[in-house]
Amino acid sequence: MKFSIHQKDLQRLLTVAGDGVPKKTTLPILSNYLIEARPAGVRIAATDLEISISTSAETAVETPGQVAVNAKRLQEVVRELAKDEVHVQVDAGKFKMKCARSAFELYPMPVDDFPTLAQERATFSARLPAKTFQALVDLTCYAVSTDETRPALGGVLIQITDKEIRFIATDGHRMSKAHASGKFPVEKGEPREAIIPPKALIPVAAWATESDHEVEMELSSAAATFKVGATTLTSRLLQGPFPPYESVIPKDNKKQLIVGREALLSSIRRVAKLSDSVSHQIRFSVRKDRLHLSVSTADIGAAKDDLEAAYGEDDLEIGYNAVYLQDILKSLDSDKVLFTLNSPVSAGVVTAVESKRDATALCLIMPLRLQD
Amino acid sequence: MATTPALRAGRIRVLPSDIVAQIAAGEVIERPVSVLKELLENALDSGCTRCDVRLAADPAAFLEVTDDGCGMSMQDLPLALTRHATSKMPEAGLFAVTTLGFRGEALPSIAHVARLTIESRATGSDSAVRASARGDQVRLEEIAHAPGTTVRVEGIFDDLPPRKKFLRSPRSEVKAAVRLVTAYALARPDVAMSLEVEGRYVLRLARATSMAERVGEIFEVQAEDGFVKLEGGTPPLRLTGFLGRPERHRSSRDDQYFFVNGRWIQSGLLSQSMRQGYRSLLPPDRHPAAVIMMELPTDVVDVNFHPSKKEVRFANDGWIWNELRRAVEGSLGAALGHVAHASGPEIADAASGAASSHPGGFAPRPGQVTEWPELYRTAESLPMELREKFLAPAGSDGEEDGAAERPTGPQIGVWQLHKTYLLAPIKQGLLVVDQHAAHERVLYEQALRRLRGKLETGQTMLFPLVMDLDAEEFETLLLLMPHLERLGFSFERLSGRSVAIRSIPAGVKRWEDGMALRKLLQEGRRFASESDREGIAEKVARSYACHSAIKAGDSLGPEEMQALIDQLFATSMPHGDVHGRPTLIRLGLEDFERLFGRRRGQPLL
Ligand SMILES: Nc1ncnc2c1ncn2[C@@H]1O[C@H](COP(=O)(O)OP(=O)(O)OP(=O)(O)O)[C@@H](O)[C@H]1O
Ligand SMILES: [Mg+2]
Repeated sequence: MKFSIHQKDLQRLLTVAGDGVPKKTTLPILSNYLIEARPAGVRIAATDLEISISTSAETAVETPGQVAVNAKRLQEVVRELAKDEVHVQVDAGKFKMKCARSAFELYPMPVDDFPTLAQERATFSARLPAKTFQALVDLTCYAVSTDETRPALGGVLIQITDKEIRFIATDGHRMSKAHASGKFPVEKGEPREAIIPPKALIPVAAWATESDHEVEMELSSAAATFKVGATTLTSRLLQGPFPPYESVIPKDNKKQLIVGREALLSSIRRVAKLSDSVSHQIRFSVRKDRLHLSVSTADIGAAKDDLEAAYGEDDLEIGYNAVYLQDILKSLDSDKVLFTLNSPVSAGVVTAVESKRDATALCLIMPLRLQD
Repeated sequence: MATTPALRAGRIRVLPSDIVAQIAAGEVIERPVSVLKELLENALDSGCTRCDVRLAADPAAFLEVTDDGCGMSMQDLPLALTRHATSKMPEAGLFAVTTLGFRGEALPSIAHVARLTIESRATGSDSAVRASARGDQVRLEEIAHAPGTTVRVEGIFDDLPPRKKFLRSPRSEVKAAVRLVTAYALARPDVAMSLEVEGRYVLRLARATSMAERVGEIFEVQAEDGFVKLEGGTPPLRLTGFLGRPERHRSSRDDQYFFVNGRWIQSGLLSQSMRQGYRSLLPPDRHPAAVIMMELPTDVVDVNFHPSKKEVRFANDGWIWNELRRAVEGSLGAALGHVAHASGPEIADAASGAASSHPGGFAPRPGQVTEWPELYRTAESLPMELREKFLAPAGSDGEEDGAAERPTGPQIGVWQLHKTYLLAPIKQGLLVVDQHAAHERVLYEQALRRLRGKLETGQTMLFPLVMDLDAEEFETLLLLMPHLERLGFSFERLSGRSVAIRSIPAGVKRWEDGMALRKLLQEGRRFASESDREGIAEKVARSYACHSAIKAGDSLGPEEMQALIDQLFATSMPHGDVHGRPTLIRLGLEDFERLFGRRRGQPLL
């Protein structure tokens, strides 16, 4: 194997594929990049067995071949190289790299150990603009569960119809349902939905946004594949069932409260400094055109804040997890947000008032039962 | 330590009848060992500096107590054998009694059931006298005797065959005698004591200069190794003594000794409140060794409650209970939390319910724990004996100490070992924490606080969890419902035994899928129907903590690890989990040096 590539390009490839290298693993081969030189260019791949990333660049390849080298070391070395042409070669079982006047040798691992994720024929594909994909990811990934007792909640449910695409995430305490309208499908078939872990979605969104490339998405029964330019990420699907999210969206929340998003967010940040470190409880006292926020935590202290709001219904006292609220407010981008509420023990709905994003979300948050 | 009453000979008077009427009536001598108890108490009341006990293999056949106390004169001796004649009743009456005896009833009662011989020489007298009594007859003769008194009792119950029939075996009498003498030896380290059974010494104790010395001798350990010093009590109550280290637990309560104003007493109350103080540091059905001295004004404790004086009554049981429990908790927490730390911060009794008695709001919690690195940062936190053996004399160490004044913990970071243990570098060594045990301790105390306090915050659920319970689970749920609701659960009965869980404790994982709840209910079957509310709460807390705690195999982020260690050190008992196993161990640099052969010494591990 022999090829040369500019340091800048090599570093970019390594960074992109680097998201697929597991931080900790018991399988030594997974700490490696698989580097493949083909006549048309080089491809660099990495996998943690749940997702696999492969990215390529056109470059001058003298001799094709494959090699597996330690990802962390290679990345570190390449980062420090001169901004110049890098000459890579596998010779006498060693991975050799020359750039300007520096030379490196790394001892590779057997290429055959490198796992290949089974490729299944895609049954369905869709194409999304970068901005749409990014918006959908931002609006939902925060709500994904980290509790391993319910693995299906550890991913985002993606559903695609002829008219729209939906991302839904929930941890059982809050939920976000985001959607974007448009004609996304390119090839029709089943299935049209899948549960995908955020660690697959987040890098894809980042690549798309950076390069302003479209995201091409393909679904098969076991995996989802996302293509952004010359980079492909394949993710295993999480097993369902996903809970019946439509049925928990309240229909009879009549009490509407409108507040400035930034003002509310910073007020919550202030007040929550004194909230309980486990429950993060904060109290909403909704009054005519006012929203009072308060916290009272045994052994710590108490805090109050007060905001202007638009509200004309009966007074209402509701407890919320301050962290959950902040997550929601940060994900939205509008000047104002609308809370539609019902009772201190039922789901509240939060939406942006006039969103500027390419996708809109309906956020549900379950209250904390207040102690009195 | 009990005060040594300076009795003077020649003061025995017959009690006036109104006082006699107040004295608890009943049987003074129940069994042979009761005789020994009376004689021992008399000896200790006499102001002696030594006291020797001799028994036959069957104590009912022969027992003898010799002291070097004030003795009795020729005139007093016959009075001593008269009912209700005593030299000990204070002017102020029964509630001012500070001696062990006060009724003037022991010797005549003994004479009534056995052959009694008293030989005594009063302080300052040249001559001694012997009184031989049997029933009401007394024979006096002049003899030679060292200053002090020897009392010999033979043939207990020989003339009362019906009583003799119901005696326990001689062996159990000997066993009780050993415990009795041990108890009084603990109460009075200032008195040299011995116990001889059938010519062989069972106990032989020289005068001790401190309680610790005596405790060490009796339990055959260095007091600091086997025990934690008890210190506490809100005035006028003073609590001192020694608490067996939790890991040295026993199968019975035989090694527990309670004293009230120097009097050895049996008390289920004290034993239980002490056990509560240990709380979950002990495995179920195991008991600590303990020597507990309570001193309190004589007017708030009634010693004249039981005819054989082995029980006392407190004016306020609840107060004593709380005081003892709190003192035990506090002393254990303070001592074990920072092994040999010289002047560590006081550890708050976070889980003792203090939180719930708090008005809440802005009130600070007194003695709230400081940063954990503080607890662990000085060289004093090394086991003391290691320090003495291996550390260079103070001074050469001082410089290094000053340089390393900054807390070492958080900056250096915490590592997770095999997703099971947390390793935290501390000054002078390494702290190893069992993540599950530690989290369990944290959650347990949290849960207990919640169970004793007001309703806790519950996170309502978007998708209520529906569980179909079997008959037993359902029954248990009904019984435990009030406790579970305090923790933040809320339930809704759907139909039959199908239940929807509407909310779960806020901020705690693992309750999402109902598995843990089902396990809790299964465990709850065993205790749900008990009548002791506090006991149930404790068990619910234990079970809850066990099922919510992170497990071995869970990986933790750096903040999570740090938070866990911080929380652990904020508990009242950071060193032990709820099953009595350790949550953490500390390896000193010395230990490493020894392991690496850089230093010679006994291997510690
Ligand atoms: N070993 C002793 N040394 C000196 N005096 C003694 C001794 N034993 C008994 N006496 C005297 O004999 C008296 C009677 O003893 P006895 O044990 O019968 O009654 P008590 O100790 O006064 O009260 P109690 O019945 O509660 O024990 C005591 O008050 C004490 O003066
Ligand atoms: Mg007496």
